[in-house]
Amino acid sequence: MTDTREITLTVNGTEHTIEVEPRQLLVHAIREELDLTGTHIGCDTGNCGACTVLKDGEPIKSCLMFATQAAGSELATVEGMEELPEARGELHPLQEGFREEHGLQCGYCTPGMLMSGKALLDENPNPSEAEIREAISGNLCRCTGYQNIVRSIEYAAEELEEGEIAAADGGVTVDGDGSTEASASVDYDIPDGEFDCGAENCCGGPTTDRKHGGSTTDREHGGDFGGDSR
Amino acid sequence: MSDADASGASDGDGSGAFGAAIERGEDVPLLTGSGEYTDDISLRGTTHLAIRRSDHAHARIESIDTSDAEAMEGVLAVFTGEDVVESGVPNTIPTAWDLPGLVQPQYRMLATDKVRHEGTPVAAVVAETRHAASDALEHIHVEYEELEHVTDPVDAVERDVPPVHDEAEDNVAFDFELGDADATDEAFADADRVASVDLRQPRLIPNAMEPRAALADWEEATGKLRLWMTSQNPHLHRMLLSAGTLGLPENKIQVIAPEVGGGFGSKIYHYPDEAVTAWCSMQLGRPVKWQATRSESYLTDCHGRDHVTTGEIALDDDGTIRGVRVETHAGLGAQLSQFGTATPSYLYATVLSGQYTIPAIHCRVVGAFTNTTPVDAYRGAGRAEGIYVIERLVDVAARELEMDPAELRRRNLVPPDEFPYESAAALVYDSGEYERAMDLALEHVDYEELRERQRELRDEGRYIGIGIGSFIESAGLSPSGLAGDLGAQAGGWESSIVRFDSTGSVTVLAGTADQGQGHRTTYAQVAAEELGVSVDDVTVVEGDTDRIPQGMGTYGSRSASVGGGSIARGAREVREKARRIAAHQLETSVDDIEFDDGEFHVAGAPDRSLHIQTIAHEAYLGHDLPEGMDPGLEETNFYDPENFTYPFGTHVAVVEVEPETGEIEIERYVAVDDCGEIINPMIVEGQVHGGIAQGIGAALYEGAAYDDDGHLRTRRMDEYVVPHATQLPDFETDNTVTPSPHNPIGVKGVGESATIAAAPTIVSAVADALEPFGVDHLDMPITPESVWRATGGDN
Repeated sequence: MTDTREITLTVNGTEHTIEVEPRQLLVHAIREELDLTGTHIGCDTGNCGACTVLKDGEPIKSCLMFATQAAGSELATVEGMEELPEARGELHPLQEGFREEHGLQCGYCTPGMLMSGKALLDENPNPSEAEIREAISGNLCRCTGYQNIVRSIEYAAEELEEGEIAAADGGVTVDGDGSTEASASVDYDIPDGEFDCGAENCCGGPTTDRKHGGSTTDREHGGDFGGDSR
Repeated sequence: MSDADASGASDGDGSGAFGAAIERGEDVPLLTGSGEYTDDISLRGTTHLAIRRSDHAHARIESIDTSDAEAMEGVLAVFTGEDVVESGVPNTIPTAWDLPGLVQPQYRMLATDKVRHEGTPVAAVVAETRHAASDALEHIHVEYEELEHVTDPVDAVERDVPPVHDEAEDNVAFDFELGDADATDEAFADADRVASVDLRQPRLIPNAMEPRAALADWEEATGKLRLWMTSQNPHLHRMLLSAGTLGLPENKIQVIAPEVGGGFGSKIYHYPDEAVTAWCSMQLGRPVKWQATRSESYLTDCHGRDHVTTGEIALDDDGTIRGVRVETHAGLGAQLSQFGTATPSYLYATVLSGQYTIPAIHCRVVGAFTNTTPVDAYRGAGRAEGIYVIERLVDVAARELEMDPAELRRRNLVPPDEFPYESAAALVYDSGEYERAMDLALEHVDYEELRERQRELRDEGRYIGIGIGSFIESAGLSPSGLAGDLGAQAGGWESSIVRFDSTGSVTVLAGTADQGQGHRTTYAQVAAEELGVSVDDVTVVEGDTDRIPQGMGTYGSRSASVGGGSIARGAREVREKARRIAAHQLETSVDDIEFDDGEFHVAGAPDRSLHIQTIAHEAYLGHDLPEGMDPGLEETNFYDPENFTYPFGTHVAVVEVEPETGEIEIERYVAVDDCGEIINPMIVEGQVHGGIAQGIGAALYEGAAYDDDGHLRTRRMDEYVVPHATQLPDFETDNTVTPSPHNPIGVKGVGESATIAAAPTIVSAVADALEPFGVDHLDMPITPESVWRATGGDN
C-alpha cells in the first residue's frame, strides 16, 4: 500500500491529525483530507496564488509545500475568516470590502486574495495603493483588473482602523441607532465549544462569561490567524 | 461628469431595482469558501481521469501499449481512441458554424490515426486516485512516426508543407469574402490617398483562473448521465454531447455548471476531455472526475486571435474615408472548434466599418489549418480583431494625412441621425451617439492641453503618446434566422421561466450561465423592476439543464440583452396575467387597473388595490380566477431578438515611452462605454475593468508562441504573462447611455467591449509616442525589446 505519514495541523483554530502521502501537496491535504475546498488550485507552477493560505501568520502558496512540511503549524484558510475577532461574528472586514467594492467576479482567486490581503494588513494596517498592489502581485485575477481588489483592501484597512480606534476609546462603538456593540478587537462572539484555546474564560474553554473581556491579551489566543503580528 | 441615467429603462412599475448599484447576491458563498466549483464536488466512489497527450505537433500513431499502465496499482482502466470507436458512440466533435466550401475533417474524442497538435488526447487512464491516474500516464507507450509540421497560418497555406488533414491539401479550411470587391477597388482608384498596415494579432490564451474540469456520473439502471462541468452553456453542451459525441438522448443527459471560475470564451466549447470523462463513467459505472492542470489548459483550451493581416484604407485629402480593403490569414488550429469558423469570418469582417461611414469595404479571410491548439472565440472574438484593424488603419491614415487622429475619426463618425445605419460590411447598427462618447473621453484627458504637453515634453526628449480607440461591438448574435442564413448550427434566442411561487417569492430560471458576470444579481434586478417586488424576493437559477429546460448560454456579450430581454418579457406576461386576476377580484375591467410599485389598483380609487404577491397566492389557490383562466403564475419565454445590439465607446490612453529602455508606462486610461441602459452600474464598471485588463494584456504582455519543433513555448504562467496587479494602472470609467431601440430593456451588453477597445487604444498610444522615430505601428505584444528595436536601439 501507499506509504503515508500522520501529521497534525491546526487549521482555523482546530487541531486535525491526518494521514498524508509524503508527496502530497499541502493544498491537496487542505482540500481533500480536511475538505476545505475554499482554497483553490489555479496553476501547477506556483504562479497564480489561488492556493494562498496563512501558515503561522505568513502567506504561503500551499501548492509549493508538501503537507508533511507543514506538520505542527497553524494554518488559516478562507473558511475561518468569519471567526476571527475582527470579524465580529459576521463577514470579516476584508470579505465585506470585497463585497462592497465589487472586488470579485468569478470568485476563484478570491480566497487567495483575501489571505494575501489579511497578511498585508496584519503587517501594515495602513498600506498605500502601491503597497497593496505589491502585496497581491503574487495572486492573479483574470476578471477584475485588480482595481476593485485594491479598493476592497483599502476598505478593510479603514474598517479595521475604525475598529482599533473604537477599541482604544473603550472598546464599545455606538451604532447610529443607539445600540452598542463591542469593537472589532474585543468582540469574540462565537458559540462555546467551536474553538478552545484551553485557558479558562477564554476561547471556548471552561467559561464563566461567554464573551471575552476587553483586554488585548485575549486576542493573542488562538482565534486570530496563527499569531497576531500587531 | 457622467450622464449615465438608467432610470426609466423599463416599463415596470418602480421598485427602482433596475439601475441600482446593489451588492451581488452571489458574493457571500464565494467570499466564505462555501461556493462549489466542479472540483470541489465529490460523489461516493469517485474515480479520477488523467489524459495522455501527444508530445508531438504532427505525427502518425503507430502503436499504443497500455499494458504497463493497466497493471499499476489503483489503475482501473486505460482507454485509447480505438476503444471509443469500438464502443459505437458517435464520437464526433462537431463544428457549429458552416461556411461555403468549408472542409470539415473528422474530429474524434481520442485520436486514432494522427496527432495534429501538441496536447492532442491519445489515451485515458482512470484510477482510484488523482496521483495513481497521473502516475500511470508515463507508462503508456506510444510509438509515433513524426511528420513535418506547420504552426503559422501563412506558411500553412503558402509553403509546401504536408497537410494537417488529407481533406485539405493546401491547409485551407475556408476562403471567405465579405463586401463588394469591385466597389472597393473603384473607391481605392478614385481616392486621393491610400494608407496601409501589415499586422499580426498573436494567439492569446484565455487563462480563466479555474482550469476546465468535469465530474461524470453514469447511472446504468436509468441510463442517465449527470455531468458537472465548467460550462458557459450547459444546454449547448447537452446538445453536443447528445448529437455529437455520446449519442445519448438529450433527455438522459443532465449538464450542471456549478460555480464557474471565469471563461472568457474558453468554456463555451465541446472539447474531447469532458466527453471522455463522461464516456469513461459509462464504461466503468462509477463517477469519474477530470481536473485539467494549468499546463493542460495552455495546451488544450481554445486559443484566440492568430491573424496575419494586410489592411488598406483609401481617403480623400480632407480625411473622408472612401474604402477599406483587408486580407487576413487566420489560424484555426488543428481542428475546427464549434465557432472557430465564425469567429474569423462573420464576427470579424462585419465590424470593419467600426464607428465610421465607409462606402466600400471588402475583406477576404483564408482560414488555415495548422498544427496548433484549436482557435476559437476569446473575449472580443472576431470583433476585437476587426476593430483592431480599422483603428490601426485610421491611425496610420491620420499620420499619412498629417491630421489629428481624433479629428480624422470625428469627420467620419456615423452621425446620430443616420441610425439604423447599414454598413458596407453587412450590419445594421441599432443606435449610437459616437461623437458624444468620444467627446466625453477626450474631455476627461483634456485632449488639446495634452497635445500641447506632448509637444513640450518632446522638446525635452520625453515621449508621451495619446492613444484613441473608438469601437463598436456586435453583441447578442441574432436573430436566429439570420444566424442560420450565415451558417450557424444554433439559434440566437434565449429562454427563461419567470415564476411567482405561491407565497409571493419569485424564481427566475435562466438559460444563460454565469462565470462571474453576476447574473443572479442583474437578472433579479430586471425581474424585480418588472414585477414591482424587492430584489431580495427574487432567486435566479442558472446552470442546470434539468432545472432550466432550455437555453443557449453565455457568450458574445449576450446575457444582459438576450437573457435579460427574455426575463423582462416573461415578467411582463406574468404581470399581465396578474393584472387580469386583479381586475376580476376587484370587480372592474382590466383597462381600469393600474400597476404601481407592485400594487394593482383601480384607476381613481387607490385604496381598492391588491398587491401582486397577494395575487400570486390567489393564482395558486385557484379559488377565484377569471372564467377560463388556468391556475398558476409563471411564464416560459423564448426571446429571439430582431437584431444584434451595438455597444460602442471611445477609450483614451496616455503612455510614456522610454526609448532607451523600451519601457512603457500607462499614465492614464480613460474608458467611456455606452452599453445602452445600465442594469447595475457597479457590475458594468467591473466588466469594463476586467475587459481593459485583458486588452492591455494583449497589447503589452500576452501572446502565445510555438518553437521550431511545434511545441508551445508559452505553456506556464511564468512564460505566458497574465498581467498582475503591479502591471496595470487605475482605470477611469464613464458611460453615456444610448438605449438599444429594439431590446425590451434597452440594454446592449458590456462583456467584451473593453477588451475590444483596450488593445487598439494602447497600441495607438505607443505608436503616437514614437511618432518622432517614424514608428506608425508595432505588433502586439509591444515589449520593451520591440520598442527598443523600433527606435533604433539595436543599430
